[in-house]
Amino acid sequence: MKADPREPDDSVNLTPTHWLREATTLTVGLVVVAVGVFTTIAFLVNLLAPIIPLRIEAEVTEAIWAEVQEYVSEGGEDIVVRLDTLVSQLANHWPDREYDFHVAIVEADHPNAFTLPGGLIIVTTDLIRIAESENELAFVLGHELGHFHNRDHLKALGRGILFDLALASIGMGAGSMPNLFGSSGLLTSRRFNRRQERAADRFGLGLMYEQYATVAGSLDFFEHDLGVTGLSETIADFAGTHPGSTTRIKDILDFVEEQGWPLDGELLPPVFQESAVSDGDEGIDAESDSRERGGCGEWTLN
Amino acid sequence: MENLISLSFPLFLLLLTYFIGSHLESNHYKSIREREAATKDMVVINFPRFPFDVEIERADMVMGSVVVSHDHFKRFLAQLRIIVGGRIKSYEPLLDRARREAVLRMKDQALARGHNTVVNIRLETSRLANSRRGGKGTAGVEMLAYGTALTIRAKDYEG
Repeated sequence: MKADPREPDDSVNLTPTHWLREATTLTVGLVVVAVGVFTTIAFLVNLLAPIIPLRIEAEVTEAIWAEVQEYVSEGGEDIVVRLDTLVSQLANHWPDREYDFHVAIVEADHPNAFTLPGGLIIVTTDLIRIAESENELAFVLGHELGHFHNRDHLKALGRGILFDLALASIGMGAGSMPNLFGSSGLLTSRRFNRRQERAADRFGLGLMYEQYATVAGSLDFFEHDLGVTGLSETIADFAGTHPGSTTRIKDILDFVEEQGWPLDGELLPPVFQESAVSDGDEGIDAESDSRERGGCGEWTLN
Repeated sequence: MENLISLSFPLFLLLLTYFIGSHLESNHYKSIREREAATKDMVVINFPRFPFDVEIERADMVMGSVVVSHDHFKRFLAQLRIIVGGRIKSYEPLLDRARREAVLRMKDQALARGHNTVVNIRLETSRLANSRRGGKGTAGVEMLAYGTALTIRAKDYEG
Protein backbone atom coordinates (compact mmCIF):
# COMPACT_ATOMS: atom_id res chain seq x y z
CA MET A 1 0.00 0.00 0.00
CA LYS A 2 1.24 3.40 -0.89
CA ALA A 3 0.18 6.72 0.67
CA ASP A 4 -1.23 8.99 -2.03
CA PRO A 5 -2.10 12.41 -0.55
CA ARG A 6 -4.20 14.73 -2.74
CA GLU A 7 -5.56 18.22 -2.49
CA PRO A 8 -9.23 18.59 -1.48
CA ASP A 9 -11.65 18.85 -4.37
CA ASP A 10 -13.70 22.05 -4.62
CA SER A 11 -16.45 20.50 -6.68
CA VAL A 12 -17.84 18.05 -4.14
CA ASN A 13 -18.98 20.10 -1.19
CA LEU A 14 -19.88 23.34 -2.89
CA THR A 15 -22.95 23.84 -5.07
CA PRO A 16 -22.16 26.31 -7.83
CA THR A 17 -24.63 29.13 -7.23
CA HIS A 18 -25.10 32.69 -8.36
CA TRP A 19 -26.01 34.26 -5.06
CA LEU A 20 -27.81 37.31 -6.43
CA ARG A 21 -29.93 35.11 -8.70
CA GLU A 22 -30.73 32.81 -5.79
CA ALA A 23 -31.70 35.81 -3.64
CA THR A 24 -33.90 37.26 -6.39
CA THR A 25 -35.65 33.95 -7.05
CA LEU A 26 -36.35 33.34 -3.37
CA THR A 27 -37.45 36.91 -2.69
CA VAL A 28 -39.79 37.13 -5.67
CA GLY A 29 -41.25 33.68 -4.94
CA LEU A 30 -41.86 34.49 -1.30
CA VAL A 31 -43.33 37.90 -2.08
CA VAL A 32 -45.80 36.28 -4.48
CA VAL A 33 -46.79 33.75 -1.82
CA ALA A 34 -47.01 36.47 0.85
CA VAL A 35 -49.20 38.68 -1.33
CA GLY A 36 -51.48 35.70 -1.96
CA VAL A 37 -51.72 34.86 1.74
CA PHE A 38 -52.24 38.46 2.83
CA THR A 39 -54.85 39.10 0.13
CA THR A 40 -56.74 36.02 1.26
CA ILE A 41 -56.53 37.14 4.90
CA ALA A 42 -57.71 40.64 4.01
CA PHE A 43 -60.61 39.24 1.99
CA LEU A 44 -61.70 36.92 4.81
CA VAL A 45 -61.37 39.63 7.46
CA ASN A 46 -63.44 42.04 5.38
CA LEU A 47 -66.12 39.37 5.14
CA LEU A 48 -66.08 38.51 8.84
CA ALA A 49 -65.57 41.93 10.47
CA PRO A 50 -69.14 43.20 10.00
CA ILE A 51 -70.60 40.20 11.85
CA ILE A 52 -68.31 40.32 14.88
CA PRO A 53 -70.48 41.06 17.95
CA LEU A 54 -69.83 44.23 19.95
CA ARG A 55 -69.18 42.06 23.02
CA ILE A 56 -66.02 40.70 21.37
CA GLU A 57 -64.98 44.21 20.41
CA ALA A 58 -65.29 45.23 24.04
CA GLU A 59 -63.04 42.34 25.07
CA VAL A 60 -60.42 43.38 22.54
CA THR A 61 -60.61 46.94 23.86
CA GLU A 62 -60.02 45.66 27.37
CA ALA A 63 -57.00 43.70 26.18
CA ILE A 64 -55.34 46.70 24.54
CA TRP A 65 -56.54 49.42 26.91
CA ALA A 66 -53.70 48.93 29.39
CA GLU A 67 -51.17 49.53 26.64
CA VAL A 68 -53.03 52.56 25.33
CA GLN A 69 -53.19 54.05 28.82
CA GLU A 70 -49.40 54.20 28.97
CA TYR A 71 -49.57 56.91 26.34
CA VAL A 72 -52.64 58.74 27.57
CA SER A 73 -51.85 62.34 28.28
CA GLU A 74 -52.03 63.34 31.92
CA GLY A 75 -54.33 66.22 32.80
CA GLY A 76 -56.68 67.85 30.33
CA GLU A 77 -59.70 65.87 31.55
CA ASP A 78 -61.92 68.83 30.72
CA ILE A 79 -60.68 68.69 27.11
CA VAL A 80 -61.59 65.02 26.98
CA VAL A 81 -65.05 65.84 28.34
CA ARG A 82 -65.52 68.49 25.67
CA LEU A 83 -64.33 66.15 22.93
CA ASP A 84 -66.65 63.44 24.26
CA THR A 85 -69.51 65.93 24.10
CA LEU A 86 -68.60 66.88 20.54
CA VAL A 87 -68.49 63.21 19.54
CA SER A 88 -71.86 62.60 21.19
CA GLN A 89 -73.39 65.56 19.35
CA LEU A 90 -72.11 64.21 16.05
CA ALA A 91 -73.10 60.64 16.87
CA ASN A 92 -76.67 61.77 17.62
CA HIS A 93 -77.06 62.11 13.87
CA TRP A 94 -76.29 58.42 13.51
CA PRO A 95 -79.46 56.99 15.06
CA ASP A 96 -78.79 53.24 14.74
CA ARG A 97 -75.31 53.37 16.28
CA GLU A 98 -74.46 50.58 18.71
CA TYR A 99 -71.39 52.09 20.29
CA ASP A 100 -70.77 54.25 23.32
CA PHE A 101 -68.05 56.51 22.04
CA HIS A 102 -65.21 57.82 24.11
CA VAL A 103 -62.20 59.96 23.26
CA ALA A 104 -58.71 59.54 24.74
CA ILE A 105 -55.85 61.96 24.19
CA VAL A 106 -52.33 60.61 23.82
CA GLU A 107 -49.08 62.53 23.85
CA ALA A 108 -47.54 62.64 20.40
CA ASP A 109 -45.57 65.19 18.43
CA HIS A 110 -47.46 64.57 15.22
CA PRO A 111 -51.13 65.17 14.48
CA ASN A 112 -53.05 61.93 14.28
CA ALA A 113 -56.37 60.35 15.14
CA PHE A 114 -57.41 56.75 14.96
CA THR A 115 -60.01 54.32 16.19
CA LEU A 116 -59.78 51.31 18.46
CA PRO A 117 -62.41 48.62 18.88
CA GLY A 118 -65.31 49.26 21.19
CA GLY A 119 -65.90 52.93 20.34
CA LEU A 120 -62.61 54.42 21.47
CA ILE A 121 -61.21 57.33 19.45
CA ILE A 122 -57.58 58.23 20.07
CA VAL A 123 -56.56 61.81 19.34
CA THR A 124 -53.00 63.06 19.67
CA THR A 125 -52.13 66.24 21.54
CA ASP A 126 -50.56 67.66 18.40
CA LEU A 127 -53.78 67.26 16.46
CA ILE A 128 -55.62 69.31 19.08
CA ARG A 129 -52.85 71.89 19.06
CA ILE A 130 -53.13 72.63 15.38
CA ALA A 131 -56.94 72.66 15.24
CA GLU A 132 -58.12 76.22 14.72
CA SER A 133 -61.87 75.61 15.01
CA GLU A 134 -64.39 73.19 16.43
CA ASN A 135 -65.46 72.44 12.85
CA GLU A 136 -62.00 71.14 12.00
CA LEU A 137 -62.08 68.76 14.93
CA ALA A 138 -65.67 67.79 14.14
CA PHE A 139 -64.56 66.66 10.70
CA VAL A 140 -61.76 64.57 12.18
CA LEU A 141 -64.05 63.02 14.78
CA GLY A 142 -66.84 62.52 12.24
CA HIS A 143 -64.33 60.81 9.97
CA GLU A 144 -63.40 58.44 12.80
CA LEU A 145 -67.09 57.77 13.45
CA GLY A 146 -67.28 56.84 9.77
CA HIS A 147 -64.66 54.16 10.39
CA PHE A 148 -66.82 52.79 13.20
CA HIS A 149 -69.87 52.92 10.96
CA ASN A 150 -68.09 50.81 8.35
CA ARG A 151 -66.29 48.78 11.05
CA ASP A 152 -62.99 49.58 9.34
CA HIS A 153 -61.14 49.49 12.66
CA LEU A 154 -62.07 45.82 13.09
CA LYS A 155 -61.01 45.00 9.57
CA ALA A 156 -57.68 46.76 10.05
CA LEU A 157 -57.09 45.28 13.51
CA GLY A 158 -58.07 41.82 12.30
CA ARG A 159 -55.73 42.12 9.35
CA GLY A 160 -52.93 43.36 11.62
CA ILE A 161 -53.34 40.47 14.04
CA LEU A 162 -53.61 37.82 11.33
CA PHE A 163 -50.68 39.27 9.40
CA ASP A 164 -48.62 39.17 12.59
CA LEU A 165 -49.76 35.61 13.23
CA ALA A 166 -48.78 34.61 9.70
CA LEU A 167 -45.36 36.23 10.10
CA ALA A 168 -44.88 34.83 13.60
CA SER A 169 -45.65 31.34 12.34
CA ILE A 170 -42.62 31.52 10.07
CA GLY A 171 -40.52 33.20 12.74
CA MET A 172 -40.53 36.66 11.18
CA GLY A 173 -43.16 38.54 13.12
CA ALA A 174 -43.56 39.88 16.61
CA GLY A 175 -43.10 36.28 17.61
CA SER A 176 -45.20 36.06 20.71
CA MET A 177 -48.90 36.12 21.42
CA PRO A 178 -48.83 39.07 23.88
CA ASN A 179 -47.30 41.24 21.20
CA LEU A 180 -50.03 40.47 18.76
CA PHE A 181 -52.37 42.85 20.52
CA GLY A 182 -49.46 45.11 21.29
CA SER A 183 -47.54 47.70 19.36
CA SER A 184 -47.24 45.89 16.07
CA GLY A 185 -50.91 44.99 16.06
CA LEU A 186 -51.84 48.55 16.86
CA LEU A 187 -49.54 49.97 14.23
CA THR A 188 -50.83 47.78 11.45
CA SER A 189 -54.40 48.36 12.58
CA ARG A 190 -54.09 52.05 11.83
CA ARG A 191 -53.84 51.66 8.09
CA PHE A 192 -56.89 51.99 5.92
CA ASN A 193 -57.11 51.97 2.18
CA ARG A 194 -58.25 54.88 0.06
CA ARG A 195 -61.75 53.51 -0.42
CA GLN A 196 -62.23 53.22 3.34
CA GLU A 197 -60.86 56.72 3.91
CA ARG A 198 -63.19 58.17 1.28
CA ALA A 199 -66.21 56.43 2.80
CA ALA A 200 -65.24 57.68 6.27
CA ASP A 201 -64.76 61.23 4.92
CA ARG A 202 -68.22 61.15 3.39
CA PHE A 203 -69.83 59.83 6.56
CA GLY A 204 -68.05 62.48 8.64
CA LEU A 205 -69.15 65.23 6.27
CA GLY A 206 -72.73 64.03 6.59
CA LEU A 207 -72.57 64.24 10.38
CA MET A 208 -70.96 67.68 10.15
CA TYR A 209 -73.69 68.95 7.90
CA GLU A 210 -76.40 67.61 10.20
CA GLN A 211 -74.73 69.28 13.17
CA TYR A 212 -73.77 72.66 11.72
CA ALA A 213 -75.84 72.89 8.51
CA THR A 214 -72.53 73.55 6.76
CA VAL A 215 -69.34 71.62 6.11
CA ALA A 216 -67.19 74.72 6.51
CA GLY A 217 -63.85 73.91 8.12
CA SER A 218 -63.80 70.34 6.84
CA LEU A 219 -60.84 71.03 4.57
CA ASP A 220 -58.93 73.18 7.05
CA PHE A 221 -56.87 70.31 8.41
CA PHE A 222 -55.56 69.57 4.95
CA GLU A 223 -54.08 73.05 4.89
CA HIS A 224 -51.72 71.97 7.64
CA ASP A 225 -50.62 69.20 5.41
CA LEU A 226 -48.13 70.89 3.15
CA GLY A 227 -45.16 68.63 3.77
CA VAL A 228 -45.71 66.28 0.87
CA THR A 229 -46.91 67.42 -2.52
CA GLY A 230 -46.65 66.57 -6.19
CA LEU A 231 -44.58 63.57 -7.18
CA SER A 232 -43.50 62.95 -3.59
CA GLU A 233 -47.13 62.68 -2.62
CA THR A 234 -47.80 60.17 -5.40
CA ILE A 235 -44.87 58.03 -4.25
CA ALA A 236 -45.82 58.43 -0.61
CA ASP A 237 -49.43 57.62 -1.42
CA PHE A 238 -48.35 54.47 -3.25
CA ALA A 239 -46.03 53.50 -0.42
CA GLY A 240 -48.85 53.98 2.05
CA THR A 241 -47.05 56.57 4.13
CA HIS A 242 -49.60 59.24 3.56
CA PRO A 243 -53.32 59.41 2.86
CA GLY A 244 -52.88 61.34 -0.39
CA SER A 245 -54.40 64.67 0.57
CA THR A 246 -54.82 66.07 -2.94
CA THR A 247 -56.95 63.11 -3.99
CA ARG A 248 -58.97 63.25 -0.80
CA ILE A 249 -59.61 66.97 -1.06
CA LYS A 250 -60.86 66.50 -4.60
CA ASP A 251 -63.09 63.62 -3.48
CA ILE A 252 -64.49 65.74 -0.67
CA LEU A 253 -65.12 68.74 -2.93
CA ASP A 254 -66.86 66.57 -5.52
CA PHE A 255 -69.01 64.93 -2.85
CA VAL A 256 -69.95 68.21 -1.18
CA GLU A 257 -70.89 69.72 -4.54
CA GLU A 258 -72.93 66.65 -5.38
CA GLN A 259 -74.81 66.92 -2.08
CA GLY A 260 -75.26 70.68 -2.40
CA TRP A 261 -73.80 71.35 1.04
CA PRO A 262 -72.30 74.78 1.72
CA LEU A 263 -68.56 74.93 2.24
CA ASP A 264 -68.67 78.36 3.81
CA GLY A 265 -70.17 79.53 7.07
CA GLU A 266 -69.25 80.54 10.56
CA LEU A 267 -66.49 78.56 12.24
CA LEU A 268 -66.87 77.90 15.96
CA PRO A 269 -63.88 78.40 18.26
CA PRO A 270 -62.03 75.22 19.23
CA VAL A 271 -63.75 73.30 22.02
CA PHE A 272 -60.62 73.38 24.16
CA GLN A 273 -59.79 77.07 23.98
CA GLU A 274 -61.08 77.99 27.44
CA SER A 275 -59.23 75.02 28.96
CA ALA A 276 -56.02 76.14 27.37
CA VAL A 277 -56.28 79.47 29.15
CA SER A 278 -57.11 77.93 32.51
CA ASP A 279 -54.43 75.23 32.25
CA GLY A 280 -51.67 77.78 31.75
CA ASP A 281 -48.38 76.38 30.52
CA GLU A 282 -49.49 72.79 30.81
CA GLY A 283 -52.58 73.37 28.72
CA ILE A 284 -52.83 73.09 25.02
CA ASP A 285 -52.45 76.51 23.47
CA ALA A 286 -53.97 76.27 20.05
CA GLU A 287 -53.17 79.74 18.79
CA SER A 288 -49.51 79.94 19.71
CA ASP A 289 -48.74 76.39 18.64
CA SER A 290 -50.49 76.69 15.32
CA ARG A 291 -48.49 79.83 14.62
CA GLU A 292 -45.24 78.12 15.59
CA ARG A 293 -45.95 75.17 13.38
CA GLY A 294 -46.72 77.50 10.48
CA GLY A 295 -49.01 74.89 8.98
CA CYS A 296 -46.16 72.73 7.78
CA GLY A 297 -46.94 69.61 9.77
CA GLU A 298 -48.00 66.34 8.31
CA TRP A 299 -51.18 64.90 9.72
CA THR A 300 -52.90 61.63 9.26
CA LEU A 301 -56.44 60.54 9.72
CA ASN A 302 -56.72 56.83 10.15
CA MET B 1 -40.88 58.60 1.57
CA GLU B 2 -39.92 57.25 4.98
CA ASN B 3 -41.00 53.80 3.82
CA LEU B 4 -38.87 54.09 0.70
CA ILE B 5 -35.84 55.06 2.76
CA SER B 6 -36.44 52.33 5.30
CA LEU B 7 -36.76 49.83 2.45
CA SER B 8 -33.75 50.98 0.47
CA PHE B 9 -31.32 51.07 3.39
CA PRO B 10 -31.53 47.33 4.19
CA LEU B 11 -31.29 46.63 0.47
CA PHE B 12 -28.16 48.73 0.22
CA LEU B 13 -26.75 46.97 3.30
CA LEU B 14 -27.48 43.58 1.73
CA LEU B 15 -25.72 44.48 -1.50
CA LEU B 16 -22.79 46.00 0.33
CA THR B 17 -22.32 42.90 2.48
CA TYR B 18 -22.72 40.72 -0.62
CA PHE B 19 -19.80 42.42 -2.35
CA ILE B 20 -17.62 42.62 0.77
CA GLY B 21 -18.46 39.04 1.79
CA SER B 22 -17.80 37.67 -1.70
CA HIS B 23 -14.47 39.46 -1.85
CA LEU B 24 -13.36 38.13 1.54
CA GLU B 25 -14.55 34.62 0.72
CA SER B 26 -12.72 34.64 -2.59
CA ASN B 27 -9.50 35.76 -0.87
CA HIS B 28 -9.88 33.08 1.76
CA TYR B 29 -10.35 30.34 -0.84
CA LYS B 30 -7.31 31.58 -2.72
CA SER B 31 -5.23 31.35 0.43
CA ILE B 32 -6.66 27.91 1.29
CA ARG B 33 -5.85 26.48 -2.15
CA GLU B 34 -2.31 27.84 -2.09
CA ARG B 35 -1.61 26.37 1.34
CA GLU B 36 -3.24 23.06 0.45
CA ALA B 37 -1.00 22.82 -2.59
CA ALA B 38 2.05 23.62 -0.46
CA THR B 39 1.25 20.90 2.13
CA LYS B 40 -0.26 18.28 -0.13
CA ASP B 41 2.58 15.82 0.42
CA MET B 42 1.75 15.43 4.07
CA VAL B 43 -0.24 12.27 4.74
CA VAL B 44 -3.46 13.08 6.60
CA ILE B 45 -5.73 10.10 7.21
CA ASN B 46 -8.40 9.15 9.67
CA PHE B 47 -7.38 5.54 10.27
CA PRO B 48 -6.94 5.07 13.99
CA ARG B 49 -3.60 3.43 13.17
CA PHE B 50 -1.52 2.66 10.13
CA PRO B 51 -2.74 -0.43 8.28
CA PHE B 52 0.79 -1.66 7.87
CA ASP B 53 3.82 -1.70 10.03
CA VAL B 54 5.83 1.46 10.08
CA GLU B 55 8.54 2.70 12.28
CA ILE B 56 7.22 5.65 14.29
CA GLU B 57 9.88 7.91 15.60
CA ARG B 58 7.66 10.38 17.45
CA ALA B 59 3.92 10.90 18.16
CA ASP B 60 2.10 14.00 19.21
CA MET B 61 -1.42 15.36 19.35
CA VAL B 62 -2.05 18.31 17.05
CA MET B 63 -5.07 20.46 16.50
CA GLY B 64 -6.26 23.32 14.34
CA SER B 65 -9.21 25.47 15.12
CA VAL B 66 -10.94 28.26 13.24
CA VAL B 67 -13.93 30.49 13.83
CA VAL B 68 -15.67 31.70 10.70
CA SER B 69 -18.74 33.87 10.26
CA HIS B 70 -20.83 34.41 7.18
CA ASP B 71 -21.84 37.77 5.82
CA HIS B 72 -25.21 39.43 6.31
CA PHE B 73 -26.26 38.69 2.71
CA LYS B 74 -25.69 34.94 3.01
CA ARG B 75 -27.46 34.92 6.36
CA PHE B 76 -30.43 36.67 4.73
CA LEU B 77 -30.37 34.12 1.93
CA ALA B 78 -30.36 31.27 4.44
CA GLN B 79 -33.33 32.80 6.29
CA LEU B 80 -35.30 32.91 3.05
CA ARG B 81 -34.33 29.31 2.27
CA ILE B 82 -35.39 28.12 5.73
CA ILE B 83 -38.94 29.29 5.03
CA VAL B 84 -39.38 27.07 1.98
CA GLY B 85 -36.86 24.35 2.76
CA GLY B 86 -34.20 22.79 0.56
CA ARG B 87 -30.43 22.93 0.55
CA ILE B 88 -29.04 25.96 2.34
CA LYS B 89 -26.41 26.51 -0.30
CA SER B 90 -25.26 29.81 1.14
CA TYR B 91 -23.92 27.99 4.22
CA GLU B 92 -21.90 25.48 2.19
CA PRO B 93 -18.91 27.76 1.54
CA LEU B 94 -18.87 28.80 5.20
CA LEU B 95 -18.57 25.22 6.44
CA ASP B 96 -16.27 24.17 3.61
CA ARG B 97 -13.87 27.01 4.37
CA ALA B 98 -14.03 26.23 8.08
CA ARG B 99 -13.21 22.52 7.56
CA ARG B 100 -10.35 23.14 5.19
CA GLU B 101 -8.87 25.97 7.23
CA ALA B 102 -9.00 23.90 10.43
CA VAL B 103 -7.27 20.95 8.73
CA LEU B 104 -4.65 23.29 7.28
CA ARG B 105 -3.91 24.78 10.69
CA MET B 106 -3.65 21.31 12.16
CA LYS B 107 -1.22 20.33 9.42
CA ASP B 108 0.75 23.53 10.00
CA GLN B 109 1.14 22.60 13.65
CA ALA B 110 2.23 19.07 12.77
CA LEU B 111 4.75 20.37 10.25
CA ALA B 112 6.06 22.93 12.68
CA ARG B 113 6.76 20.12 15.11
CA GLY B 114 8.60 18.14 12.47
CA HIS B 115 5.96 15.47 11.81
CA ASN B 116 5.14 14.13 8.37
CA THR B 117 1.84 12.32 9.04
CA VAL B 118 -1.40 12.88 10.94
CA VAL B 119 -3.63 9.92 11.71
CA ASN B 120 -6.94 9.46 13.47
CA ILE B 121 -8.20 12.85 12.35
CA ARG B 122 -11.49 14.09 13.79
CA LEU B 123 -13.50 17.17 12.95
CA GLU B 124 -15.87 18.85 15.35
CA THR B 125 -18.18 21.80 14.89
CA SER B 126 -19.78 24.08 17.38
CA ARG B 127 -22.12 26.97 16.77
CA LEU B 128 -21.31 30.34 18.23
CA ALA B 129 -24.45 31.88 19.64
CA ASN B 130 -25.30 35.43 18.73
CA SER B 131 -25.63 37.33 21.99
CA ARG B 132 -27.70 40.07 20.36
CA ARG B 133 -30.60 37.72 19.71
CA GLY B 134 -30.63 36.07 23.09
CA GLY B 135 -28.45 33.22 21.86
CA LYS B 136 -30.96 32.20 19.19
CA GLY B 137 -29.02 33.41 16.19
CA THR B 138 -25.74 32.09 14.86
CA ALA B 139 -22.76 34.39 15.00
CA GLY B 140 -20.53 31.86 13.28
CA VAL B 141 -19.10 28.38 13.60
CA GLU B 142 -16.01 27.00 15.19
CA MET B 143 -14.40 24.07 13.41
CA LEU B 144 -11.86 22.01 15.30
CA ALA B 145 -9.63 19.47 13.57
CA TYR B 146 -7.43 17.27 15.71
CA GLY B 147 -5.44 14.12 15.28
CA THR B 148 -2.29 12.25 16.16
CA ALA B 149 0.75 13.57 14.42
CA LEU B 150 3.44 11.00 13.71
CA THR B 151 6.96 11.15 12.43
CA ILE B 152 7.37 8.12 10.26
CA ARG B 153 10.56 7.10 8.58
CA ALA B 154 10.33 8.13 4.97
CA LYS B 155 11.11 4.69 3.52
CA ASP B 156 8.09 3.17 5.25
CA TYR B 157 5.75 5.18 2.99
CA GLU B 158 6.69 2.91 0.15
CA GLY B 159 4.73 0.17 1.95
